[in-house]
Amino acid sequence: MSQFAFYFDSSRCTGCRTCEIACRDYKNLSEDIVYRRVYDYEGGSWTTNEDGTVSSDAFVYHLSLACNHCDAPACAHVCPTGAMHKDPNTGIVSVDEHKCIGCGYCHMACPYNAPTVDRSLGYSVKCNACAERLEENKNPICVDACPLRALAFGTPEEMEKLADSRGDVAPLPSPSLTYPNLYIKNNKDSRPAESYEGKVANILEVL
Amino acid sequence: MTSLGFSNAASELALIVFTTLTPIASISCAFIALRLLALKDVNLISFKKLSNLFWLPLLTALLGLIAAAAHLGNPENVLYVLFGVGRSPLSNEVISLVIFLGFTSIYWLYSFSLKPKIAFIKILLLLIVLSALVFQWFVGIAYNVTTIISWNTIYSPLNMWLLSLVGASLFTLVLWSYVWPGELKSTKHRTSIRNLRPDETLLVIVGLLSFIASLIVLPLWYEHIATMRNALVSVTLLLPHFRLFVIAYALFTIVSFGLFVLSKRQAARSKFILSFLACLTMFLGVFVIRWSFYMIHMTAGLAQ
Repeated sequence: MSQFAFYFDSSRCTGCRTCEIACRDYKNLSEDIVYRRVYDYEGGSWTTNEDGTVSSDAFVYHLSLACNHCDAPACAHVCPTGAMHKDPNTGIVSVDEHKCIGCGYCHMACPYNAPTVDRSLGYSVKCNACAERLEENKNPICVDACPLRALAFGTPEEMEKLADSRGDVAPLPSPSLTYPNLYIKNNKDSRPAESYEGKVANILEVL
Repeated sequence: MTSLGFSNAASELALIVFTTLTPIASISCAFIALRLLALKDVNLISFKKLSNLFWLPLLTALLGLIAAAAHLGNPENVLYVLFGVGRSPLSNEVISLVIFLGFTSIYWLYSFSLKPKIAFIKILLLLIVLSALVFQWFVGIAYNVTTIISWNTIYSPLNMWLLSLVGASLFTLVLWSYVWPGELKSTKHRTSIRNLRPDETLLVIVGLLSFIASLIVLPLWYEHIATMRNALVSVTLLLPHFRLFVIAYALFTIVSFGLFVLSKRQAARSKFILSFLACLTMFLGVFVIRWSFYMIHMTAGLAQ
């Protein structure tokens, strides 16, 4: 089976949300549905020194995240109908809307908050890596929309060459849970997955 | 964040109703089936009456199933679940429930037969017991998903079993009191453990022991999960006042058993009202704990 993967350059991303907006626009998503989110992760503090100067170890970085089309997708594992499935040819995890019962168990199980049930449609929806664009040898829309070229898409082998880790960055969960096809280039402040040195600053936006 | 916990639970209200009603009803059916197997003569009036009474736990289980189906976006695709045995914990749970409901429905219909075949009756009763236990097993482990860290503990199935045993004991005692009203009358206007028949005593002991065990296990469960967190939320933020839920559960359960005892001294009309209230408070007690369970839903990583 071949596989596709996302690459994210954390040292380039400015958190502008263009990827998120391009996805929303291209997929014509409603207000309450989102396939790609940008997490603002920040931490650290400052101290006042004896001489009155202030030193700081505060940091902030951003993480643009959609479905990672994991090697062991939790969403597909719990799906009772097989509607949530991993394509044997591309490795892309997507929903067969003719099989989905809209139970929401995929949403409950995914540690990346990728699938969600669209109540108006009655079935789960999620990023399918713009499968129709891939057929035309184009990138997913979020990748092409990024003004900083912080996103890329290709085979895991290609993405791995550019990256420092495979999904091992805070605020993500340990990559050993689902083996996400997300390759990360760190920035100078990057913390490893499951580090609680910082916190997600835009919780109300991403929940 | 407490409101986030409530929002978690409220969005899964249908599943809370399902996991409150159906497991209790299935274990109650198993208790009734075991009691019927212990009766040697199928021609006894009590055998017929008890067999006919299957409709009530059966209806309760069906109400739970209907509630669960109500939250589905596309229930018309549910046949794909039935064809997916072994595919996922949820498909196993649903299939085992359908099998249990099938056996119980067939038995209930067959109980109206004028010339029932004893061998067939006994096989069906055994199948009801087995299928109820299998369903209970699968509904217990349906929530053990590696990525849902707050649910993926031994306490999820353990709590499910204990709450089902507490609820089913009370529910079954109420049903039996309508099958053997004469024998269950208390003496000297007092109802005590000494006035109970052996089968009733056994159920009371099962219920009380399960209740006591649940009061020990529930705090242990919370202690086990209280330190869990992900990048967005923590269990203590989602459910900060778990103690109040346990107190509410304990009070509802004590009141339900009290109402059941009271109901046994009453005439028909009052007895029905008190029996109904006993069952209602019992279900409310279990509902409270199931609600708290859905409040703490939290995956590793980035989902609440």
